[in-house]
Amino acid sequence: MKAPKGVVIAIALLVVILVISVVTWSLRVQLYSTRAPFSAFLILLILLVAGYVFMEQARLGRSFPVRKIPAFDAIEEAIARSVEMGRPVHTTFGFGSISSSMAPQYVAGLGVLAHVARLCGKYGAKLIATLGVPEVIATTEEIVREGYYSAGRPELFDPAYNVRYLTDQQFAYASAVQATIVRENVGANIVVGPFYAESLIFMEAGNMVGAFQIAGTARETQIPFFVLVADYSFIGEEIFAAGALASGDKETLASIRAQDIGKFISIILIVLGVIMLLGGFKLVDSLNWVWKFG
Amino acid sequence: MISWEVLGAWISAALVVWIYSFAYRDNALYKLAEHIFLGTAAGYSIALALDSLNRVLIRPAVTTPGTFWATSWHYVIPVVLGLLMFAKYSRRYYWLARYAVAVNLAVGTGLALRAVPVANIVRQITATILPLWGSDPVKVVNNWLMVLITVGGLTYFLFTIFPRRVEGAPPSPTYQVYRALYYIGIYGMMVGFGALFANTIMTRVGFLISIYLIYLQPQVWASIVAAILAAIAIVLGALRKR
Repeated sequence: MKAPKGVVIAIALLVVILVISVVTWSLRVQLYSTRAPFSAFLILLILLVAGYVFMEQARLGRSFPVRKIPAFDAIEEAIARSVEMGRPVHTTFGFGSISSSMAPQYVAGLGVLAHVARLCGKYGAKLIATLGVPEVIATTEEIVREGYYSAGRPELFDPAYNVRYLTDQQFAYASAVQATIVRENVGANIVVGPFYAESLIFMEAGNMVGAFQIAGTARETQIPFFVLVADYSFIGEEIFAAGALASGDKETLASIRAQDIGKFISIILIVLGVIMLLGGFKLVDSLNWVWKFG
Repeated sequence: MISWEVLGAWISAALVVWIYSFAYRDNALYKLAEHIFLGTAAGYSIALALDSLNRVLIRPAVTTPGTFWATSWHYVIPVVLGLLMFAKYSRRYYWLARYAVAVNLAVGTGLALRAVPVANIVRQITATILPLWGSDPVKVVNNWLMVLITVGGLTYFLFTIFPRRVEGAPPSPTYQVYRALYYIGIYGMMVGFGALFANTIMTRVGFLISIYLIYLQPQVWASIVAAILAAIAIVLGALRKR
């Protein structure tokens, strides 16, 4: 029986990692942190393998239904409402550098932007994408152009109007975004990405013009503002699921299943740990065990 | 004679008041303050980037080329990636800009991945494994809440693994447990968000008071000028409204 190409690649990668580990260990090169618990490495490995397996299954045709996320379904309603009112749609996904640990949130924001652009093309809505991430100006322009072109409305694409890079400095970006929301009298304000203290400023500006607001971030300190002020909000990890849903790509959706496996493992370990505590066994010690070698 | 320091303080006070005036409505002075702020920030970013490029790459490559090419040649890679960004202006080669974005994203994702398994998974799990029985009732209640809300929160964020209810049939025990945990999770989070919200607002009010103290406390005339500036902004806003 011939093994699938993907499995061969996965095994080859694992062999390469193993060989590198052995070589670096023999040369006394510290490849792994001797302070991090081994369980973290094990969980990461499980998640990587699970992600690969589910994506491979998706490639072979398996689908992974995602539960309903009200904020995601509301995006279409917000855009349709803006068109009815003759007002533009505003979207933004934050400021700063994309090569930071916030990168996954920027990707989710870009995924939602792609969905919004497609819908704007479908309904003939004017889209204003403000951004404070200089590295993705070209990508944003491409996404918005693709949205209008795929809907057969190339005449609506005007890069100078649709894509507005402001600055990567937090409050200068915030002051310009709030002014854009108010001056353009936007009908829908869709903000998904990593946001900081500017989150409430955007929500308040949207509120001033009576915009339909959909917001989401995985930064826990800013979620309360979005939950309180926006009409619909993505709470935490929902933005990643929204990004995957927006892409409509089966393989990206399969990666959500791998994330769920991680959460499921966490639930099991917590419940198991609490039960084992009754018998006097501390699972915490096992989870904190550090493999010291070399 | 007015010193630069005093002039700077006046300009800063005026900009603060003009920015605040947006709370009433958009006006010409807010626009002026916004454009100064935006222009300064953009200029500052460019200056910072050019300075960094000069310090890290251009100066060492020109002054000590031997040492640079022997030890720091890899700095050329980000420069090439940066230059690829300009490909967006070419209709034919615009796709090259994607490579620079892809590398940046990969670096960011890698950085996120490095810390997540320890900080967001293992440390969270170990902090939640708590004794649910004991002599101190307050601690026991606290532990129960901690465990239930954490498990509930995790259940809420399960997007593809969840039991489905069959139409017309009574809910299965698994479904009932799932729904109970789901609601515990969402209500627990809402309580947490409320506390976070109050905490953040408290900090913001602190900022507001400190601004008041800076501009209103030392000089009576400064307070009067600030009030006049605010009044001008409001009048301009009101005129625009008409």
